Amino acid sequence: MPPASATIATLARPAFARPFVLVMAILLTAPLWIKQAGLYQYIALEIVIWAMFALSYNLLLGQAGLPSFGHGAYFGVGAYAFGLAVKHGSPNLWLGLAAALVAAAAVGALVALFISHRRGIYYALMTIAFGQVMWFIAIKWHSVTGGEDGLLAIPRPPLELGVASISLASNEALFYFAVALFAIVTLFLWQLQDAPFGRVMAAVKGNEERARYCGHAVWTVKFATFVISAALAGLAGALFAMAQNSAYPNVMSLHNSGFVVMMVLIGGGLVSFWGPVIGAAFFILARDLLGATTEAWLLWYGLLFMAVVLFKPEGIVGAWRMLRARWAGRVPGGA
Amino acid sequence: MALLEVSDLHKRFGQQIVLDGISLRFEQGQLAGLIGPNGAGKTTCFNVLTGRFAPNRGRIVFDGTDITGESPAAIARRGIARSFQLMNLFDALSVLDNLIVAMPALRRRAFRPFGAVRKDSELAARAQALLADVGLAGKEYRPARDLAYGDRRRLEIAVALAAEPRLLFLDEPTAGMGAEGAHQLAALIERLRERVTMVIIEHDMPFLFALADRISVIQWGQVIAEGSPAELRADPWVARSNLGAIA
Repeated sequence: MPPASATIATLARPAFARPFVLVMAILLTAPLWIKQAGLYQYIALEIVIWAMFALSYNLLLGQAGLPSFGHGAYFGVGAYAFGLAVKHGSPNLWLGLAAALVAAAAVGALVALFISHRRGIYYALMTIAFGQVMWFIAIKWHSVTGGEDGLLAIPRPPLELGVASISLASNEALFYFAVALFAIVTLFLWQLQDAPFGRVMAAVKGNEERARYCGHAVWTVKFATFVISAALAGLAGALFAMAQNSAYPNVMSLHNSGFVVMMVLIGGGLVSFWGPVIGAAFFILARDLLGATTEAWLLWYGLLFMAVVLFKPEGIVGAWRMLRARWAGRVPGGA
Repeated sequence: MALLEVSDLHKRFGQQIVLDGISLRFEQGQLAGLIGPNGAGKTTCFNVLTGRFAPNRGRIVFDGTDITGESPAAIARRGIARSFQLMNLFDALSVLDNLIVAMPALRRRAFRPFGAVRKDSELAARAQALLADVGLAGKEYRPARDLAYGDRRRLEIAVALAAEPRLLFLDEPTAGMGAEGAHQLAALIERLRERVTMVIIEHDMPFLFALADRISVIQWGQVIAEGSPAELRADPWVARSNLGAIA
């Protein structure tokens, strides 16, 4: 039995099937009960999109230990690339999604070139700087990005499957499509942790120096991780552009980048694969539920974030595991 | 030809000269020792030979290839591994994974994004054999950080061995191990000497004199004496220093 202190991507890991089935069951049935629960379809769509973004971000932070605080930039690049491709290219869903993946990966690669020899606070600061540069470009490059207004009236092209064409115009249809992509991304990221590349990422996270002395190309590992993470963030951004029918500079802003960090940490991304998903759901629900009662919801959420970082850095998943261990009569955290 | 041939190595940190013209030859299959007082330059010598610092002057030739100034990763890929005096493990990883990430078999497919490492029975078997070798069997699923001090030292050596080196540098392997631990370590090194050329920095003179084929004494960044343990014992300079007294 691995102790609770063990990080992800190591030791005998928990099974994938059960939590995956549980998450999928909740998501796929959501349209049936979400109105009864006092919510609405669009919020479920947004949760799935942010969950995908948070998972892609946690590849970098949780698995490779690389703190990026400007990750909204790649989400935003994906959103803009999707918008530009379907508005000015051709209104094809696959083209738009491919454009988002490729553009976010390319921008991610460019940034990774400059930061992959750094680590810790220097790495973090450089990601912020590049994030701000991207945000600034989104605002100023009016002819391409539409400036402060952003790209408006981005269509939701239908899902072409050769034999059938399914409209994604309704939030419910787009939600199911987002869940399908989310499932693919989840499966990819899950098996990546346990693949050779995942082990090497864990080694780089744990001890860059020793990884070098084991002959690993540490720079290239960090570079590749950043590119994969940025590409998947861009895919989430493309879904966001569809959901919002627009792409605007705000998605690249520093506070949007901060939101994903808060989701991942509150959920428990440092100790659990599913932490970011829980954190994304928690954040979006808190935003709507707290936001309905007070303008200053972020103040309360920020306080909660500080409390988590101070008292339970393992987040919701960490707290849940501790409680379960207590119920089971074991010493919490004991091996 | 020697497996590693070091000639006229100089290393300066600012005004301080740490290595002042060191020349060493390590023959294939030999077990060599480096001794000398603290601050003599032994660990710096390891650091330069394994790529952490580039030398200011001098040449390092490994198996006929000039490797002077290469990066630690490049040198490691050539088959040179080291253990660290201050332990340098993958603390969050399991004992088993500490070894697996150090294996060339994993490194060669480091960028493969699929295929579960957990299910690779060949890697696991190799790691298990290593753990049995160093006396860590049964602890494979513990995170490295939870190991006791002596076990961490064993793992430190096992990680270096997992790289399947042709040349292995061990930096004070017995430090803090206790008599029983040092005894087991000596037995392990005896078993390894068939397979790998070793260079050991050690302060435990009886330990090293019992194992080494050849010992170099380093002081003031220079090699001041060299020879077999028997020759060194007979050396009047070494005999007059306390090094000889301990041996």
